Amino acid sequence: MSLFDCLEQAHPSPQELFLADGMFNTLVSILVIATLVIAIASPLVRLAFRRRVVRLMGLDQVQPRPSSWWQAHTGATNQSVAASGLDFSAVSGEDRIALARSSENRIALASAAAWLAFVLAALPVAGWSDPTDGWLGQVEFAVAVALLALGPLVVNVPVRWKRKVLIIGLVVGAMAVGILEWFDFEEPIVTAAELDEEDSPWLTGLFFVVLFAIYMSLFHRRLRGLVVPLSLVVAVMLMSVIIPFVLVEEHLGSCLWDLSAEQPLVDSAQSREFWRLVFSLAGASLVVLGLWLGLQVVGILARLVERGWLGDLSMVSLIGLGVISFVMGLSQIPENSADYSTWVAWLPLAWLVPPVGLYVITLGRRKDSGPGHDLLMLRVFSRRSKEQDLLDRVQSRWRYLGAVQQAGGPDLADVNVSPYECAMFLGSRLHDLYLPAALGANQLRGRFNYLPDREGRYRINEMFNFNTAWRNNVEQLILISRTILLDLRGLTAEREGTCYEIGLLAQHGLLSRVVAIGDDVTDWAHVDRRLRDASAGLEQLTRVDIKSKQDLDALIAALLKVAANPVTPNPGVV
Amino acid sequence: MSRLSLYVSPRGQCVMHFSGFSWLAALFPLIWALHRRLYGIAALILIYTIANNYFIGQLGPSFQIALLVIQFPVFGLFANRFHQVLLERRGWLRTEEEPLRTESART
Repeated sequence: MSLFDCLEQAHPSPQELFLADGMFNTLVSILVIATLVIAIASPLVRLAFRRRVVRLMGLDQVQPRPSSWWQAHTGATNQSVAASGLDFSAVSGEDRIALARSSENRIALASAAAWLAFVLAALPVAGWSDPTDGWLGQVEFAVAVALLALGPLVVNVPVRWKRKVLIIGLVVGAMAVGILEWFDFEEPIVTAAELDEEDSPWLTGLFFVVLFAIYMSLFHRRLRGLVVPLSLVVAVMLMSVIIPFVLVEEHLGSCLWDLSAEQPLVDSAQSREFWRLVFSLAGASLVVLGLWLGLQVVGILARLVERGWLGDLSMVSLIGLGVISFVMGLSQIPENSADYSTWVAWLPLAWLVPPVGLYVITLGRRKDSGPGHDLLMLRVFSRRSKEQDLLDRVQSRWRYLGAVQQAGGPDLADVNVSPYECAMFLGSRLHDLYLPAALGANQLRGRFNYLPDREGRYRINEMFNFNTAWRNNVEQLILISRTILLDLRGLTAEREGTCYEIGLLAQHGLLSRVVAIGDDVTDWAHVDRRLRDASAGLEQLTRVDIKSKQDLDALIAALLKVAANPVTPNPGVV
Repeated sequence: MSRLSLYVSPRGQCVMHFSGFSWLAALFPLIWALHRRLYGIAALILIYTIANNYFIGQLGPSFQIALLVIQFPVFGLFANRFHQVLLERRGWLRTEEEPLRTESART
């Protein structure tokens, strides 16, 4: 009998099916395992990303790129026309601050409303599997959801609200848990059989550690940029492999089963080998197709973020809420339900409708605030997290005022990973983001996005350069920037890159646009020497010493003061 | 440590090339070929894998293990060199490369 003959056999019983029995349980298990693997591997992925960024930065040009390469990357030229037409001084300084405040408040309010809608939508979901639970069970579930949803909420709210939101959320959550425990004071009667069924505390502890690792990697500032797109790629790839097999198995089940049976219906060993090979090839093709589809999904997401339809932070929050609704929903759907699979698929989507709807409605339409006050961050590429954290806080606050420009480097590369950069990294095309040669001011402007997204946040624009191109491009970047933050913390005479930038600023007479920050290590005498070499002096530099986190306000105020200065045309712009 | 270079095609595409031993090619040659976008080579590797499993597999596991032991260093050592030869024969230009001395580009 050939394999095709087995198709004429009666359909297999569910016990004989390879995957279809509990298809969604299989899917869920694989997805959870994949997410866990990504969560554990995320620090390694981050390390690989940083290493790739650094290696590409160190490349020297040995011959110029052919014109075909420049033509293939002309997207920038078209944008540059649009960028050159932007009116950077349409809104005055004070109005700009008011607009930024308004954007921050809108986003904070909309995030809170979405969080509340997500928590309230948890109430009808709760108690589904056990209707005898009563209102107390529903509230307990909603409190758990509220605490978990604090992660996505904190990601999306503006910096100045983050700490307050987290502390208030945790305190209120702890109080709610305490009150619920007080109401629910009756000790449940546990039978001996139930006691036997309970997992050991070690296993339960391990389960929560695993969940915590996944949760942290999804929302961690330095991991989420890579983890979220990578999880999407893996999820889409797994779906692409499993779903076709499950669908086919319904018809080919007995034949698939036959291939692994001890007493097969298929007669010859050769035929069995052949069909095993066919199915292995089909599996391998689906993996490749799934990876491609996964990268396409991340690409679509990247385009949505690029066009401002979806904010980079709200994307992380949305995916986080999706994961929470999926995991929490699973615990509530009765396993014996006839529509179990349907509910597993649709419940998270239905659950997300109220928070997303309310977020969009509460945000409303933002006022057209134009291109804003752009900020250029020049810095020593510090390896210390303290320095990096301050810069991250500055850029996170400034992006409500205007776009932030910076030379891409190993210090902030993993903090600012956009879905586009991540897709390029995963597709082994990160080098396409690097500038191989010097660009003119308009071409450079064209590569940046100066307009805010629909939520009102401006972009963080990174300029990656090869070793032989960065000097000229940084010079152009300095010339087209209106406000410049010069981070000299940890600067010593050996830091040639930053010393070169100091020289450029003095040489072009742009010290009035600069706010410099330093610390105890900063070699100010060396800075002074470099400035004097270009006929300038340290006294021309606005300096802010950063000793504590409170100094951040002083720094922002100093930058705003510089941003309010009238712009003078620069003759050095090419 | 392997040395990184970038090659640009006459049509403006850009790819990375690493010199030296390739662990990816040694362990998973098919993935290495797909990762380098060498789809023709990937198809050849696939045919080789099928032949290996289907025909040579029938000669016994010891033969297969012996083949793997030979295949591992051969693929690892020559994959990147082969990639470079292919790129240069097809008219791709080496436009950027890592300097021989490892040093920080910009500090």
